Amino acid sequence: MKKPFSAFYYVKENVGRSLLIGCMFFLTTMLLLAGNYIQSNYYYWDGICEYTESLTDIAGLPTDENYEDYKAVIEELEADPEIIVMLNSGFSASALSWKCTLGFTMGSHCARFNTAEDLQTAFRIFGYKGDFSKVHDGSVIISEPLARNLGFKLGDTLGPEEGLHGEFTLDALIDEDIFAVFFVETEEENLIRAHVLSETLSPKEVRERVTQVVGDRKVKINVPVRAEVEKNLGPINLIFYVALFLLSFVLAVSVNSVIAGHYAKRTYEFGIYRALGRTKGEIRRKCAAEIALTDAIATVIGIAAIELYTFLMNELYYIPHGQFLPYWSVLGIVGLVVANALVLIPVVLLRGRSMCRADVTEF
Amino acid sequence: MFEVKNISMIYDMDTDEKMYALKGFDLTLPDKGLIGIIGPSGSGKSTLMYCLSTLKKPTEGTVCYNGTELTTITDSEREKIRRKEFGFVFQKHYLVPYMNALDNVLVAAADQSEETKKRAKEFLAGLGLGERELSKRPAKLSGGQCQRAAIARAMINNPKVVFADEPTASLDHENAFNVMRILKSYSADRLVLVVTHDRSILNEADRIIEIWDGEISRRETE
Repeated sequence: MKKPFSAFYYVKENVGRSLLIGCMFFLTTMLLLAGNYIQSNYYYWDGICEYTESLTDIAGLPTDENYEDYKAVIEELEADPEIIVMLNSGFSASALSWKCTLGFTMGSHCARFNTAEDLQTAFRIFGYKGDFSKVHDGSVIISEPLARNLGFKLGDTLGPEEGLHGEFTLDALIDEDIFAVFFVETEEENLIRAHVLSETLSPKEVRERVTQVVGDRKVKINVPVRAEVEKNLGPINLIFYVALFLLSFVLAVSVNSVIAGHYAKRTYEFGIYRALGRTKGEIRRKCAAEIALTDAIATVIGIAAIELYTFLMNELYYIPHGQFLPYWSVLGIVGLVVANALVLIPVVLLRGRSMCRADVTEF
Repeated sequence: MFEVKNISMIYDMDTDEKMYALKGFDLTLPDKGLIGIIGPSGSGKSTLMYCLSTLKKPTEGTVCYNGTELTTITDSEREKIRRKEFGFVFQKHYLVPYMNALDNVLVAAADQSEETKKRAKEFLAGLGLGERELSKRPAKLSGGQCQRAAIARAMINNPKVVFADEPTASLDHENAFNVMRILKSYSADRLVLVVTHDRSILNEADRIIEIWDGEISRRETE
């Protein structure tokens, strides 16, 4: 039997009013969606970050006369039975730009391999799967999501119009969520870059070994891009947090005024409870429970609606266009929790205190 | 049961125009019986009732209930006394609009057990509210039925004292008579205090206290 004094009883018997208040709380769940959209920027960069962390690249520096230091490092690394060294061209390469879920254009990462065999060895070590039988000198390989994002198909010729540094044929697609571009360009000279991998050592161990070999010689070791990505996307997070607090403040004021008006009409009800001997603690707990229950129901419905929206958008639009909206994100959850707390806490405190002062003798 | 000494209630204390709702008088009330407190509007009768029932604290004087000094105990002790020993019937029934008649009675009950629910139903049946009326909200009940539900709410915990502030003011003659009959019946072994400006409903009262301008002008005993 639901007790008449309980919050469940109140919400059940006042569905209309509870819905109205619930609609206000529902708005706080939009922060989850906003956070998910912002996190979507990181989604495909995660693959690039992992790739640059798992692959150690070295390059000779122009200050190294005749690239003597570079050659010495290569020689030492090649002598290590656990290390694979893949030399490739020192000429610069360009990557493709793609459209993210939020609608703006982002750049990608690129890597060059001197031979198809080198590429297939590297992909085997990374665990990238695909049909590489047609890969040859002059091939470009991208991921399936990137191909969908840009509207490319296997066999397409991509060149300067697409932003590349030369003409290439799209000869393979990899089944990975990574927005990077891989070229196979065979060069005989100017092989002043090298990929350093291992079938037996972890990427961290390879990097440590390379760093040890390079020492203070004039050879550059690549830095994983995660820090750079986070630095560039950081301001967007900051804008999100500022928007979160502003929106929560506005919501707190509006929700409080709606709820204040609603509870003002129930002042006599709470005055009766006080006359019947209900303690101030019971009154405060009742107010808190009613508001919190309404908020909880609205939040659950809001989250369900957002997940359904995300599922439909992913299936119907984003995935077919090589994009993705995550179902949850740390940013979104923080936004949802903080917004709810900023709205809920003052409302609960103010209403509870106000209803404790209800006095039946003043009616 | 009640020992009131030199009770005063002053409103707007900090202003030059202080208003004396009660002007310092003594009063003793018994353990049982129907006591009427009568007076014109603004005479202080409701204020007296509020002071006796702990809903208001007098500015001066003391109110003793069964040896307990109500003006010096804590809020939680006052709440406990109201919960266990006092019942209230107001001029307007003040039933909760979204609760049915039965739940309006149960919301005042000390516990929500099946036994209490059964007792509440029996009580309401005794007051003329059948099964059909129990599930109706106040908007679907007549004024007399609402007031009877309010009486049931006031009496569900078997309080030792029932305070009724103008309980018949919103009712027609027949319903007013029925309500007073119920209160008289309850006063056989409990104290029932009825505040009113209508002398005609106090025909069955054991005692009538007349208040005029914050002072007791007459005490009548049958």
